[in-house]
Parts: sequence; structure tokens; C-alpha cells
Amino acid sequence: MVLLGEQVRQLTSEERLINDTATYTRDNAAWGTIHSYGNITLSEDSLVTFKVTVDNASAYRLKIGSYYVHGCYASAVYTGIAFVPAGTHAVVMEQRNGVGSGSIRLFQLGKAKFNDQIYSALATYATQISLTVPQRSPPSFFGTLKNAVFAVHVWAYTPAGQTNFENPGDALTNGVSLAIDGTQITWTDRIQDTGSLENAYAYYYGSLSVGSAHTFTITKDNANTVVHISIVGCPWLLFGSLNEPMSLDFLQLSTLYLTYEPLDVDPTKNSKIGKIHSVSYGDATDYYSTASGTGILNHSYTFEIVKVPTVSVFASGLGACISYVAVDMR
Amino acid sequence: MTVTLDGKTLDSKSLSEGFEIIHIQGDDSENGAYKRKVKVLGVLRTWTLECVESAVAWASSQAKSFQDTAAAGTTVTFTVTDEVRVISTSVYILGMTIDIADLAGKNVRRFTLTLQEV
Repeated sequence: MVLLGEQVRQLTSEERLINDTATYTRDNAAWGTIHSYGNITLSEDSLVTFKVTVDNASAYRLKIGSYYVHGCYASAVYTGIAFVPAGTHAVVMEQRNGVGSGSIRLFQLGKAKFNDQIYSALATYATQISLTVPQRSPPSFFGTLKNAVFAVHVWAYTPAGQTNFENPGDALTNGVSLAIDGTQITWTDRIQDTGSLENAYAYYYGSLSVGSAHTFTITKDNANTVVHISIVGCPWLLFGSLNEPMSLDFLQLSTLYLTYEPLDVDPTKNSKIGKIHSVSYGDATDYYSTASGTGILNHSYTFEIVKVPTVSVFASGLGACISYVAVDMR
Repeated sequence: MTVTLDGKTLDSKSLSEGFEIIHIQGDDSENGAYKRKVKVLGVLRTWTLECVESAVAWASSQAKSFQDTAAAGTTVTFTVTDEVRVISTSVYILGMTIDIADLAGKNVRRFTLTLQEV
């Protein structure tokens, strides 16, 4: 009997770099700084997470170094991630009136790191990006990796024009679309720049196989449209649909332990062990064990009768992650 | 063959390497037949290293230095370089025996180290 565990979210590398609760306001028709949060210094290319509360409907965009990582208009709590190159970068929230004056508060920004993560660091999109999450060799105590969640975050603007992110079938002014492995995707969420305020933002989360190269291609209707993009792929990230991060391979009577945590968001996380059957009567008959909840979610299951390699782990929760995987082997 | 431990070049007389597959076994049934399943957890490499030092004061002894390192539980670098193979890794020092001889008034210290890969 041995208990083997792995902290797939590397907390030793994790750090909250900015935590500013103050309110900052600005009332100006032109783009300018509503608040500069100072510099961050990253010793390596890093997964940056952020959260900000926007109190007034206005035009806002978040800039890290030379690149924009987020843009919005409505009052809400916004969160996001970006993979930022190593170095010292100024973190600045910019604002212009457009739809009203600006007010922001409760700004947090930090860095996180995961095992098995791969990325394309924040930059201006120039050419097709190809990424592969490597398979583990030899296999790990839990088995092998299966599918990774890829998060593509894109900010775009067209000088003196509007910018719109296009889903399949759309034909919008100055459209920007994303194709993965040659197939155009539907954005998970998009904030269009229909007011020509030079500020559009969208992101896509999806599940792709581990061990294979995947291509990410941005297509722009207008050659003058500028796109800032960063991509991260990792089996331990979650998104809105179920991802199968691993193929299980350990002895019967073992107990699998999984711990889920918020990353940039604290959504309801769903963890399921089983498999969709030939005719599904819902989760209660497809899965032998499920867990769901916000905050830190722990889920464990002992494989007494159910055969280990015939079922798998399925997990969802946009903006959250798996932090720990452990198997108590009997 | 050049052997170093914690950056110190050793006068090594012999080196043996252990390569153990760490695994557990469990009873199972497959297609109605009994199976003894094996789950490989990893590999454990160990080394036993015989070394000699002669006419070296104890305060300056490599053996004493490695005893101190082992007692502190710190890991050290271990390298072996010969014509056909290079080993370069980090190890724990898990044990040591020392044989001391007085040969023609010259203190000869033979020590055997047990190393385990981190």
C-alpha cells in the first residue's frame, strides 16, 4: 500500500503580485491611463491571472508591457488569464468615455504555474501558432495524460474603425476569427467593438488531445486590424464543458483523490468518474461518483468493483483548475 | 573513470550500481481468469562507491565532509565519467563505512558510500 500524490498546480511558483482595493476614476473622451498599478517582474514566461471590478459602464482595456490582454465596456467583475513573457512589465488600466466615465476598483494580478503546461506567450499575432502538450513518459502513477484544455485570449483593434470577433457563419465589419486545426471555432465569449472605440476582446476554451500538435490560426478581414494573443494549454485547467485530463491506469481497490480550486474564477466545479453509456439516463447512471461545488472541491473514489481502465475522470468549471492528484494504491 | 561527489573528485576503487523497479502487485480478474497485476511506480537508482584517501587529516577528510552532508540530509551532485557512459545526477548519501589502516606510519582511510538518486 502506497499513497502517491502530485501537486500539479505549482504553488511554490505562485504569487499575488498586485492587490489594490482602491477606487480609481477618470472622465475623458480619449484613451488614457485610469490607473497604473506599477511594474511586475517575471523571472520566466508566466501564466498571469487577474481580476478587476468595473463600476461604471465605460471603455476599459488592460495593458501588460506592450500588449493588451483584456477589454470591456459594461460594469461587472472581470477576470482573465494571459501568458506573459519574462521581464519587467508595467500594468496599466486604460479608459476612454465612449459610453460613460470610468470607475474601477479591487484589482488583483498574480502568476501561477502548472505541470504539463505549454504556451504561446503574449505577442502581436503574426503567423500560425503550433502547440503540443507532451505525453508523460514513462506514465505517471495515475496513468497517462489524455486531453488538455487550451485557453486562447485575444484582444484586437482596428485604427479608427470597429472590430468584431466572428463565429462560424458571421460576416461582421473588420472580423477576426480563430481556426484550430483548420476548423473555425465559436468563441467562448466575445466583447465586440461596435462603437469603434478601438477595443475588442474574446477568448476561447476547448479540449484538445495531448501528444499531438495543434495549430491556431487568426484570420483578419482587415489587414490593419492588430491582434494581441496568448495561448496556454494544460490538462489541469478546466473549462465550461467536461474535459478528460487523464487515462486511468492503476490497480483495483485503489482510491483516486482529486482536488479542484479556483484559478481566476471560482465557478461551480464538476468532477465525474465513469463514462457516458450507450443510452444515457443522465449523470446518475453514467457516472459512479460525482462531486460538485465552489471553493476547494475534494473528490475521491475507491475502485472496488468498477474496473479502473474502463472509466475516466471528467471535469468542468470555466476559470478553475485541478490542483492535486493522488492515488492510494492497494 | 572520474567520479565526483559534491564537487570533490574521489579516488574511487570500485563502483556498483543498483537499478530497482519500484512496483506494487494486486489480485485481479480478467476475462474470468485470475491475474496478478503489476503497477510500476518508478525506478530507484543506487550506487555503492569504494574510495580511498591517504595521509589526510580528519578535519580535511572527504569522508568527514560526506558524513556531515549526510547528517544534514542535503542532496549533492554525483557524476561519473568514463569512455562509454556519463552519469550526472543528484543523490542522498544514505550511509558510509570507514576502514582505517596505519600503513608504514601513513594513515590510509578506505570508505564506502551508499548513494540514492533524488
